[in-house]
This record gives sequence, C-alpha cells and structure tokens, in this order.
Amino acid sequence: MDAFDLTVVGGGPAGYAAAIRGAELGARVILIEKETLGGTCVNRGCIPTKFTLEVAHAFRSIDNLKAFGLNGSLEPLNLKRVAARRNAVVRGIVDGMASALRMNGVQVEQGSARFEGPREVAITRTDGSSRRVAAAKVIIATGAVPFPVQVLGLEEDQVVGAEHVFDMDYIPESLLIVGGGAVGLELATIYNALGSQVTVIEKLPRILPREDTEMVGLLKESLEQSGVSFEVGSAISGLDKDENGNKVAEISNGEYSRKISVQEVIAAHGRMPNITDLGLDQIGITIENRAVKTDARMETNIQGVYAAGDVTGGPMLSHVASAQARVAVDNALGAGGSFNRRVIPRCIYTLPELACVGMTEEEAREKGRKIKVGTASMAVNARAATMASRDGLVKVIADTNNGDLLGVHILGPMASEMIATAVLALNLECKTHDFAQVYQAHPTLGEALDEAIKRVR
Amino acid sequence: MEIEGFRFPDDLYYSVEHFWGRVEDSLVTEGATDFTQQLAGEILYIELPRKGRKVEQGKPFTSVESGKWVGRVYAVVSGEIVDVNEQLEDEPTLINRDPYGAGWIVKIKPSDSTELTKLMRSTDPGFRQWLLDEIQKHKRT
Repeated sequence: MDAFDLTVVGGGPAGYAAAIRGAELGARVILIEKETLGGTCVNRGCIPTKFTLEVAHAFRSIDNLKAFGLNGSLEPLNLKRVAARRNAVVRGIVDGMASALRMNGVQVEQGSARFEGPREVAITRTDGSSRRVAAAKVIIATGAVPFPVQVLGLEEDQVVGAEHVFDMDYIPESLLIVGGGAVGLELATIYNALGSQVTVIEKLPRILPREDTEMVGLLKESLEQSGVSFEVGSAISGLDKDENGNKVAEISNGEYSRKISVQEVIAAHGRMPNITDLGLDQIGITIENRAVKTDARMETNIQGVYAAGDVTGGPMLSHVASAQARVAVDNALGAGGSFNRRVIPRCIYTLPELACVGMTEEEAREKGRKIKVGTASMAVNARAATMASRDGLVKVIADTNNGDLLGVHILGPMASEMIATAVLALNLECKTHDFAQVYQAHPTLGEALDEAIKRVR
Repeated sequence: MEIEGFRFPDDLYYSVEHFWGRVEDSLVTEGATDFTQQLAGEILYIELPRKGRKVEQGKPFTSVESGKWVGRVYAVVSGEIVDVNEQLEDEPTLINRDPYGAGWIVKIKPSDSTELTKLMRSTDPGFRQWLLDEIQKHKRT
C-alpha cells in the first residue's frame, strides 16, 4: 500500500487548492476525484453560468443601444454554438488544473474514495479496479450536491436541476425557478435576458435572506423592471401537465394559491454537503447540521483529518473553499493558521450585479454595534452615466465610535470587480478616515465607493 | 386641482408611486405626474419598454432619468403595453413640459378593470394630506 504525506478526497476548488498547497510545502500528495477536476464550480456552477451571463449581457446591450443613439438586433441565438464554446472554456480550465497538478507532482486518481480508517483510504476506480493508500494527513473536500427535489414535493422528471440547465437545448418561453438565492437569481437574469418569461419562487419571506435588506430590495426592483416576477413566502403545492405539455404549477403562500402555466421548472433550491458513501461514520467523524464539523484550523474531531469547502457547510463559495483548503493543509503540514470568516466577499451576478463584503446593516445592529451608514447612488456617478447604466447604490457601514469599516455593499455595473477595494480595506481594518487621502481615478465606478464613504454619518 | 404648486387634473387616476392613468376607450394611458417631473428636473432619457410587455400594477417596468436621478416607472394597472410614446425618444422633456398630455409614456390594455379602484383621485378626501406627506418625505432625501 502506497503511503503519502497528504491524501485529498475531491478535486474541486478546495481539493485542488489543498493538493497544490501540499505540493508547495514539499509533501507527497495524492488527489482522488470521482468525476471531473474542477468540481461543481468549473463544470456545473460558476464557470458555465458566468459564460452564459456574457451571452445574456450581449442581449441586454442590444436593448441598451438606443441610449447610445444606435439601433440593433441580434440574429437568433445558436445554442449549439454557445454550448460548444462554453464546454471549451470549461475544458480549458479543467486541463489547466490537471496540468498544474501534474507539474506539482501530485498523483491524481480517478475514482471514488472511502475511509477504511482515519489514515487509510480505499479508491475504487471507474473501471472497477481498486487501490488502497495510506496517508499521514487527509483532507475531505467532497463538496456539495443539490438537495433532492423530493424536499419540494416533486419528482426528478418534473423539473430541471440547476446543475443541468445548460443541457437544455432551447430557451423556454416561460420558466418557474424554485429558489431565490444567488443561483436562482443568476439563472433568472440569464433566461430573462434571453427572452423567457421568468417567475422566481422563494419559500422564505424574501430573496437573498442573508444579504442587506435595502440592497436586496433594490435588486429585486431592478429584476422586476427587467420583467422577472417574484413569489416570496411561497411554495409549489402541486405540479401538473396540461394538454399542450406545459407544466401547471400551483403556488401557495399559506393564505391563497394560484396556478401558473410554464414551459419548464428549474430547481435551484439549495445544496447540501456531500457526506454519503465516504465511510465517515466508520471513522467517527462528527457531522453537525449535515456538514463535516471542523474547528477554525479546519481540522475535524479526528486528529489528522481535515475538511474544506462546501462539505463543511456554508458559505458555499469557491473562494471560501480554496481559502479553507489552504488553512487546512497549512495546519496538516505544520505551518499553522486559521480561517477568518470576517472578510468574505459575496457576488451575485445579476443585472445589475450585487457584491457585498462584511456585515449587513441588520447584522451590525444585531451584534450591538453602533453604526453610521453612507450611501451613494449610481445615478450621480459620471462613469455610470457614460455607460448608460445608472441603476445602483453603494452602501458603506461603519462603526460610530472608531470609524471602522464594517460592511460594504455595491449594487451596480461591475460590482463584483468594484468590491475588491472594499475587500482589501476590510482586511486591512481600514477606517473611514483612511480614505480621505485616497484618490480614485475619474471617471470610474469606483468613485461611488469613495462618495459613499464620504457620506457616512 | 393644484396643491402646493403641483397640478393634479381631477379626471385622472393617481398611483402612490406618482404616476397617472387616464381611461381612453378600452385602454389606460399612463404618464408621470407634475410632482414627479418637478422633483426629477429636466428629463434627459427614458428607456421605452417594448410593445407587448406585460406589466403588473405597482411593479416597475422601465426607468426615467434626469441629471441627478434615475427613477423607476411603476405600472398604474396590470396588463399589456400596446403603445409607447416614441416621441419621447427624441424629446424626453415632453414629460416636463406637458406631463399629462403630449408627455404620456405608455398605453396599457388592462387585464383587470377592478384595479382602477385601488388608485387615487385628486378629489378624494385623503389626497391632499397624502401629497403633503410625500412633499415632506422628498424634502428630507
């Protein structure tokens, strides 16, 4: 049985980051991946959706051309070509990851893994052959899988799972998207721009429940203005087919219900850690809230066994996965460190984009902080005006007592890029007065952040 | 009816979002009120929606822009947009100069005629106070 310094189970963002980090620290590493390197992020999530969002942007830009004194139209969408190009982008990234692992001397096994003991993993390859490896340290990075559709009271053949939307070779005339989180909203943005009549249904009283209430309210209005309908505090109480093959969903909010006829239903109702068939119960790993429990060093209750990424629960973000993986490996191989939850940017790639880092207003007040808030509308930003994209708001939350920046929220064009300044500022524990001598270029969208900080009171 | 310098013709319906509706044949014509155009300042641009677009009462369906402000246009009734005022593409200031006439924005084929009862008339007893409250609210922002 071969022995390694580090065994990494899972080849998504967490597993990949863990393997590379291990190799950087001089360890002998083996990585076991059941399907394709890159995991959900590269193959089914972040990358395919962001690519398809560019197509949606293009359609939206055509609508905006009038603002620039132009008239235009697009030829009908060639979905086959979009799919081919998207798959090429994905494959390029996967190949790049395989190449990097190879160059770092990481052994990669294609197969499923199962703990036989805390230091021993059995690998079953896709061809049925098997192998056992011993490792001084193990990183569990098996990611997450969609909640079964049965939790919605539906069957698999009644809906399209969010992971499979791009297998659809047509743009539905009408869509019901179950789930008002980032995934549901991004899919709503895409399909709305491509011509579908989209309704988003969310069982909680509001979409994006963990983000700032005011910012989410503005985003919802922007999406409504684009034509997306919302049913919040509601669930599907029945799903039938009519004689034309359309799906008829009964939507209830507890008080009344209504029926809506759609061509397709997409399930984006959330994901759960992938903890089955790993033999975790065999080695007695503590599972809490259906996730692998770790401390801030990313170690589980079993010494030498660490976990990183979606399998440890939320927030289920790729950059969190990679950061946790590096912390896990640093601790596994003696370099130390802990995962700091304080500064985690969240980006929702809707149109306009919403990007947030740090606390929401509600969170800050709940934590008993005395806060002051500054906001600046994109409507008064010169660059946004030249882009004919003036919908949005920047909100800065600071501590009244010492001016500490607590949270920054940006709704507007390229918010996901603009948030980088705020991420740096929060990491450096900047205060509002630190920005007094910071000069952003003019005209830039970034000036809106400066403006919001100036207005904090 | 004129209140505090803002005109509100008596024959129109008004929404809390500050837009008006006029019933013409079987359609509802919609536009921005004198209050909206005065607060906005010179209208520089309005993004005209597509004909055929479905709208919902109280939900936004497009934006109107002045130099300092981008405001959402909310539908006064639910239905389908059957006509848009294309003159506004070249002359958006019609909204300022003639908000209740040549500055109309869209014509909606209503899907629910009972929705008009949810709108206000300037002759309603509570209308004046509602407007005074709105004037105060917008003074603060």
